[in-house]
Amino acid sequence: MGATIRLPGSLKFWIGGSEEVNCECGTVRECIDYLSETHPDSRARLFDEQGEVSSLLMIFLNGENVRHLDGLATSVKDGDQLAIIPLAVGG
Amino acid sequence: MIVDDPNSHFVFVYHPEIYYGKRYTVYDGRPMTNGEVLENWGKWIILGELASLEKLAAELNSYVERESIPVIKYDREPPRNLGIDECVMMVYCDKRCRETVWAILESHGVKLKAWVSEKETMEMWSPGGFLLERWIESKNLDENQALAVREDARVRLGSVFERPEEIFSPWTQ
Repeated sequence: MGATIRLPGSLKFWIGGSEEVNCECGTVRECIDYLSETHPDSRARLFDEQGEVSSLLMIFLNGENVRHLDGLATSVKDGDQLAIIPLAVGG
Repeated sequence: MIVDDPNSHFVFVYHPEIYYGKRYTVYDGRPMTNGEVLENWGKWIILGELASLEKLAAELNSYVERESIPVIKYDREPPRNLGIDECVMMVYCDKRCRETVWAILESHGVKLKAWVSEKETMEMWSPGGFLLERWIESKNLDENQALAVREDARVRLGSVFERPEEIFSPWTQ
């Protein structure tokens, strides 16, 4: 079953035109890595030049910003929903 | 009630009694203080094309009128100066009610689930904050104009942080 990664419509070109991807990963970081490995076009947008997950993104697990959970180390389980949106949207 | 004032960047969905002094930052029948807003107020973020947000707003209007949702606002056009290519809808509520409001949104087809607290947003629009600085840059303001904008933000948002006991007063947008 795994988790679902969702992106807004304006970012769906990152993942080949779909708005969601399923994955079986144990942490948020693994989900981001999975996304970049399976959809290479997303890599430059997901990571900064230092290889860190971009600070221009907000990542949510089941609606909650992972900053308020355990960050990228937050555990992901079957049925969870991960959402990625541009940071600027939060205003 | 959908309020589409062309002088505003945003279209709002208000309870009709907003013009008679009704507040929407209310919890348990009591107006929220600045401190309570910082702790509990926030919004579900929905992105989409204007037409889809207009349709959703029309569907959600009855929930606002029944007070199941306190207030909604959405962009009339994508805020491209902030690097965003879609319109953004913000469905506001208290964190303690957010799953009830999410269930409403989900029943109307919203899938991407993203909650942003008002405190996070205010920090981004405070001097030195990501959004305020990006906005200043996008407007090509000179140094004095930028300083004035930062000072306005400091006064307006600073009072929310500095006076937590006061009743929260939203500002015109």
